[in-house]
Amino acid sequence: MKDKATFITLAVLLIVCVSFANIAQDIFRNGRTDDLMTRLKQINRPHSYDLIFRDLRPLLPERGMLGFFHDAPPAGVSTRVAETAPYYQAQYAVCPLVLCYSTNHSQVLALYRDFQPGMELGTVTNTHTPVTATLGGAMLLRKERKK
Amino acid sequence: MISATLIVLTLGAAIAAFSISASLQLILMDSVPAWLGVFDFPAILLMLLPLLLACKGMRQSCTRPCTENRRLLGALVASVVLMGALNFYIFLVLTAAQPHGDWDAWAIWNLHARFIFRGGGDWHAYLTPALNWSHPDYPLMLPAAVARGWQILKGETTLVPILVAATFTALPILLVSFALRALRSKLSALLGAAVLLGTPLFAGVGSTQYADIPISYFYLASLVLLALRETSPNRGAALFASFTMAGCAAWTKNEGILFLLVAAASHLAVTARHKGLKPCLKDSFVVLAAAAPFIAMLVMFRQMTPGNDIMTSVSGSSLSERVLDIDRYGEIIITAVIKLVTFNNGLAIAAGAVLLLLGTNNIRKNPAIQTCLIIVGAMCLGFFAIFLITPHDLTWHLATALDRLMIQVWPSVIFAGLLSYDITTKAAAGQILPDGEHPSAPDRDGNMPSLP
Repeated sequence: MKDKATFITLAVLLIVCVSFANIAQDIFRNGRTDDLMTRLKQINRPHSYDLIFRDLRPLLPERGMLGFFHDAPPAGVSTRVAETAPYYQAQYAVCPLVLCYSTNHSQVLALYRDFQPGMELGTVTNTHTPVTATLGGAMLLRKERKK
Repeated sequence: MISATLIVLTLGAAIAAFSISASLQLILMDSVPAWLGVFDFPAILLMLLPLLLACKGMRQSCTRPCTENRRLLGALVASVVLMGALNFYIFLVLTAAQPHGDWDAWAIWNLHARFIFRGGGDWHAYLTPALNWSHPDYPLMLPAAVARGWQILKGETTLVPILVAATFTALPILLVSFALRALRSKLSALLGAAVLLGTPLFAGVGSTQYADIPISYFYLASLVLLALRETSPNRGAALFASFTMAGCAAWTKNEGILFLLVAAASHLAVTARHKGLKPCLKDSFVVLAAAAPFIAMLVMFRQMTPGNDIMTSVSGSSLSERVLDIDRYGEIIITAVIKLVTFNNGLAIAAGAVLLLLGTNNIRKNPAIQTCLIIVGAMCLGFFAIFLITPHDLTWHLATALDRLMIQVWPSVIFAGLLSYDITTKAAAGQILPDGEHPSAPDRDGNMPSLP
C-alpha cells in the first residue's frame, strides 16, 4: 500500500509539473509581442473598423443591403484571411446593414486603406461616384444615373 | 460540496435562462427584452426549478474517509491556486489584445449580437444567404445573452461578451472540482482542477469569446447531473435538469444537437440494460419533456435561417464520394492521433496513463459512469463523422476545428475519467487527520465502500 501511495504522489506531481510547463510555455509565447500582437493588429482589428465607419454612419441607410469592395491587402499579408478580413470587419462595423461582397448595388461601401484625395479608385468608379470619404479610407459610392 | 456544486450549476443555468428568455422573445415577438421579459419566468422555471428539486436532499456521496496525504493535498491546493492565477493572467493578456474576441467571435457570435441589439424588430436581417459565411443558422444562446446584457446596460460595450466569456471559462473549472469532491475525493477534485487549469488552451479559447467554452460547460453540467442523480432523492428532477443542460448545449452550437441526441440514446440504452425496459420508458418521457422546449426553439429558428453549410451538402453523389474516400479516414485518424498526443504537450496522455495505472475501476459497478464514458466516446465518433462528410477542405477544417472540438469535450473527459477511478493516498502513519474525518471500515471482503 505504501508503494502505491508513493506512486500516486509521484504521478500527481508529474501531472502538476506538466501543467505548469504548459502554462509557462503559453505565457512565454503570449508575451512575445512581436509575434501575437503584430498578427492581431494587422488582421484582427474590428475596433479600428468601428472608428473608420463611424463618420460615415449618418450617411448610410438604417436598414437594407449595400455592396462592398476594397483594395488589395497590405504588402506581405497576402493570405486568404487578409483578403477577406476587411469585408468581414466592415460588416461587423456597419450592421444591421447587410454588406454584399459585390458592386452590383446602387450604393457601395468601399475601403481604400491608403486613400488620398484625387486618387484613382479603380474600375468600380466607372459606374459609381464617391459621395464622401473618411480619413480611414472608407467611402460611400452611389451608382451614376444615365443622363 | 453539494451546495458549492449547486451554486455553480445555478449560475450557469441562470445565464442560460436569461438568454433563452431573450431568444424566445426574438423568435416569437421580434423584440429583445430589457430588464424583464415576458418569457423570463417560464425560462427560470424550466432551468432552475428541476435543478433545485434535484439537489434538495442530495447527500454527499463521498463518504470515503479522507485518509489522504495532507502534505500532498496542501501542495496540490497551492499549485491549483497558482495555476488559477496564471490562467487568469493568460485570459487577461489575450482579452486585452482582442477585446472583441478572435475572428469567429466578431464574425459570428458578436456580429449576431450586434444585429439583435441594433436591429430591434429587424434583428433577423442577418438570416440571409448573403451572410452564409457568418453561419446565420447557429443558435442564439450566446448572441442573445450578449445582446440582452447590452440592452440592460443601454449600450454596446465589450465588457458584456468579456464577462460572459470569463464566467463560462471559470464555471467548468469550478464544476469539475466541486462535483468530483462531492462524488469522489479531495485528491480527485484537485487533480481535476489541476489538469484543466494546466490546459492553457482552455483559458486561451475562453478569451476568444467563441461558443466552444460555454458549450463545454453545458456538456459537463449535463454529465455532472447524471452522476449526481444517483445520490438524489428526486431522481426524475435530476434527470430533467441534466437534459435541460443538454438542451442548452443544443441551443449554443450545432455540435450540441449531436450531444443531446447522443446523451439521450446513451442514457436510455444503459438504463435499459441495467434496469430494464420499464424504467427506460419512464426515463424517456422525462428526457423528452426536458428536451422538448429546446427542440421546439430549434425547429422554429431553423424555419427562419438558411441551411447549415455541412448539412445542406449531405446529399447526392459528392457525399458518397467523401464517405467512400479511404484517404479521408486516414487523414482524420492521423491528424486526431497527432493532436491527441501533442494536446497540451502530452498532458492528456499523461493523465490517461496515470488513471489507467492507478486506483480502483468503478466503470463496471456504476451505470452513470458508463453513460458518461459512452457519451464522451460517441461525441468523438460524431466529430469523426462530421469531418468525414464536411464539404470544406478537410485539411483546413481539421486544422481550424479539431483543437476547439477537443477543448469542448475536455472538461467532460476529465470528469468522466476521474469519476471512473477511486484515487486516494493514504496518510502517513501517525499523521493527524482533519477534524471529523475518520477512516471507514472496509466490508467483509476488504473492499472500500462503493461510490456512485
